[in-house]
Amino acid sequence: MEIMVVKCLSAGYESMRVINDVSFGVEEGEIFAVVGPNGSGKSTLLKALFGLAKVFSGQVFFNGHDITKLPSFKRIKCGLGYLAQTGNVFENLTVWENLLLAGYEYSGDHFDERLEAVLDFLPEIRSFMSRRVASLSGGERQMVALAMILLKTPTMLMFDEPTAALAPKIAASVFDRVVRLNEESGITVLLVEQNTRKALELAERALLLVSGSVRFYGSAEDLLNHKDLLSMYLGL
Amino acid sequence: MIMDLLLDAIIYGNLLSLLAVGLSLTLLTTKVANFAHGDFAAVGIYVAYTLSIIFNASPYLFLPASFVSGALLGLVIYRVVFDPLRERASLVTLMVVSMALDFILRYSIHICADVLQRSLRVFSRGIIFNDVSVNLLGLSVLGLFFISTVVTTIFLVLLYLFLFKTKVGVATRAVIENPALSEALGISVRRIYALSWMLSVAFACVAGVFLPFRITVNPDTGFSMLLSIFAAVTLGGLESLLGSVIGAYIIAFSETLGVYYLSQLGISTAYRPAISFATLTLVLLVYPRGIAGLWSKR
Amino acid sequence: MDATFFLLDITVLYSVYMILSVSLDLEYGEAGLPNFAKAAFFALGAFSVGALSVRLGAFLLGVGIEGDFKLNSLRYVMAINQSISKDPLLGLTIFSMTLITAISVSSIAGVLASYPALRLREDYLGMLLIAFSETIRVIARNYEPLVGGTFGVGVVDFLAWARAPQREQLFLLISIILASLVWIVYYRLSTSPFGRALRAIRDNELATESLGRDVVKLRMKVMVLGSAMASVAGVIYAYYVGMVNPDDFTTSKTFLVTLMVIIGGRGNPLGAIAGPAVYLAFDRFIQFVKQRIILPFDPNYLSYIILGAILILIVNKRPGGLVPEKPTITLPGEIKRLLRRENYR
Repeated sequence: MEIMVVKCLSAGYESMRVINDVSFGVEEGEIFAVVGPNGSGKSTLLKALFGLAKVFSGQVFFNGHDITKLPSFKRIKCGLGYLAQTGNVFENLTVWENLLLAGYEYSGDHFDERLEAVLDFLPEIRSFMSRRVASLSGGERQMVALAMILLKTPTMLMFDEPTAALAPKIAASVFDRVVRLNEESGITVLLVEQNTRKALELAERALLLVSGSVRFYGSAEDLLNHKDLLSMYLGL
Repeated sequence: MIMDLLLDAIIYGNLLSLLAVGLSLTLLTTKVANFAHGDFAAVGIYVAYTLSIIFNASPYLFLPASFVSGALLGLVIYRVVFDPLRERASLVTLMVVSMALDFILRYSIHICADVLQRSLRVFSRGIIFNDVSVNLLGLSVLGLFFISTVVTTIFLVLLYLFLFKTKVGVATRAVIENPALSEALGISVRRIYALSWMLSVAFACVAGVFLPFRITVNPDTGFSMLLSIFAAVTLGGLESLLGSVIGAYIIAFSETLGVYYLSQLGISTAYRPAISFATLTLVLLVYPRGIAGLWSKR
Repeated sequence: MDATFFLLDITVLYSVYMILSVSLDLEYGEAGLPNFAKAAFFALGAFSVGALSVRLGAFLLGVGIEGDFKLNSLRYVMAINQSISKDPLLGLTIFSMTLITAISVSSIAGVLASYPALRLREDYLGMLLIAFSETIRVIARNYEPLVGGTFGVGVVDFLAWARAPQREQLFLLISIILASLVWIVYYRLSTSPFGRALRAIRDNELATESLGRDVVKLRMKVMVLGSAMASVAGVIYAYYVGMVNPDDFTTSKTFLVTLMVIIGGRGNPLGAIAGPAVYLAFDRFIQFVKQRIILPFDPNYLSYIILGAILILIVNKRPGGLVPEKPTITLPGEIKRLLRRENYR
């Protein structure tokens, strides 16, 4: 069952089109990678799927519903989560306060339950609960942002270059977490990544985006073995 | 003599801190540099005054009434004036709108003052309240000093508790920092904005009630305090509530002591606004982060 | 009311407000600089006249001013007017010298005021300018040798040699000429590359800078020009009223001019014509109504409230004002032709 279907999507900002006529589908429970050179529109694609970029034409379906015009917070309610590169945590607030706000709409008991579940998945957070987010390292911040989204019980998560600006060891643990998330909770993952090789190794299927258009859509393994495409667009 | 000056400065500081904190709140949330803020104090005065005439009781008793009127006024102003302009108007436009609001409020108060005078046959300009003496540990203390300090302390503490210990308060701080993320998490940013306006105006109204115990008051008195309020907020760093409180006391002391020493030197006390103006200019041009820059890392 | 007097009154006031609107339109409408010290520059023009006309007149007549300036100014004004009624040149000299001084003083102030524009967020800049404006007023109010403090100071009648109604007609003519000159300058600037550069800065400063335009210099030029214009309005106003009083130049004046600019339409020469017209029409209407209806309070209060409400309404419903600014888009030829054809239907 395809949890997300994108049909002929053209999107961008103001009057500038960044992605053109993009179509693909994401199967429920899979890890789907979106790769491509810098500036190809990967981030814009995610933003458009979440409702943060301007859609010029095309449609986005989630669980069968047309969410193309839905505001972001409603998409979250439908079960779609999005981990942006920046602006995904409140720097001046403590970790605990951030989590509190992520669970803003939950009643006391429900919140406690959800929080426990999330902290079980990310136990390291317990050690810096009372610290201001601004004082945390990049990797720790990432964890908090992820925890916040997980509190909302998403069925699908979209990651925008989660390992950018992270040390290799931390980046590795991020990938581990993404895989665990997918395997343990069955959350569908859409992964936009600069680290093409790693992303394609983890994913079942993939999309290669170049200058806003689709150059490859299919099995991740196939793309990994496609020497020409990889060298031409990704310098690998 | 110096004791009187210090007491006066503290009283002025109490007043100014409630006003400055309110101005900061609406500036931080809705980005409105509110030119009508001083007039809210005037509203508080006239509410307390009218009620004290009608019920023949001390205006102090009507502090809660002023607070509530302020909260309602804040709600109405936000909903009617600023909510429709959200995301549409530039910062300067918002400021100009607040100027229009000042006109509307100030002259409405003038009208109320006239009507009051005619219907209840009392003076409605040049108002002054009679203070009471409070017995504290055997010492006779000026009522205004005691009550304003107590009220201000309670309000500031309550504000702190609200912002740091309640979910809505934490949400308010979140909205100040990142409204887009707040919205995405399901926090109703508009409701937080409305709430901050309610608090801001309510605080200002309460502060207003203390004024007539200290000086003669007219419908324009609120507006004439605006420069000092802005100076306090600017000194505090424009982006910090705590900074505004500290800034308010510094301005209060500077003005009170400064004017006294200026008069000793033979310079007219009418130059009082120069203190606030100088502070405002210097801070904006030289060190815009203000006092908050001492602890903020931004 | 005497027809000539009424015409004079409304035309002079309109000229003054129109010049002020033009100056604010140039600074704020075109260049995006919220000059909330408008009343101060207006005041500088008027104060130049107030401080100088009597002293200059006395100086030219070889007479010293004895005693307290504040208390004696009116006496000297009358004496000087007597001399002017016999000697038009004296009057014209006083007028032109005070005008030149006003423009110079204001321009320098404009240069100073343009500096903070760079470093501050727009609303903080507005705050600073208002504080500046109020301070000028407080100083003028308290430093008596300047314009007589709260008393105000008398202004010489430089047209004392003309007799009514020529005197009124002459004054009217001068106001109209000055106002028209100012407007034409604005119109030419607005439609010139200079105007386009200003609007470019207003809409996107970084882009303009990267295109090589010196933003600092342009801003300064605008402020100097705007201040000079405002001071001309101040000069006309001072000579018309015959007195200069610091309390006439409060931030309420700045706000009124801002109101006119917003109602008329920002960044738009036609808006600068419409705005003051609407305000004056409304103001006169209230004066008219005031004499016919009895209210339990001063009707002026109501007029201010209505003006405030009008501004909020306009910002909400029709932010461009009565005559919105036309965007400078260069339309492709095809579309231009099509549009022209539409107009003929």
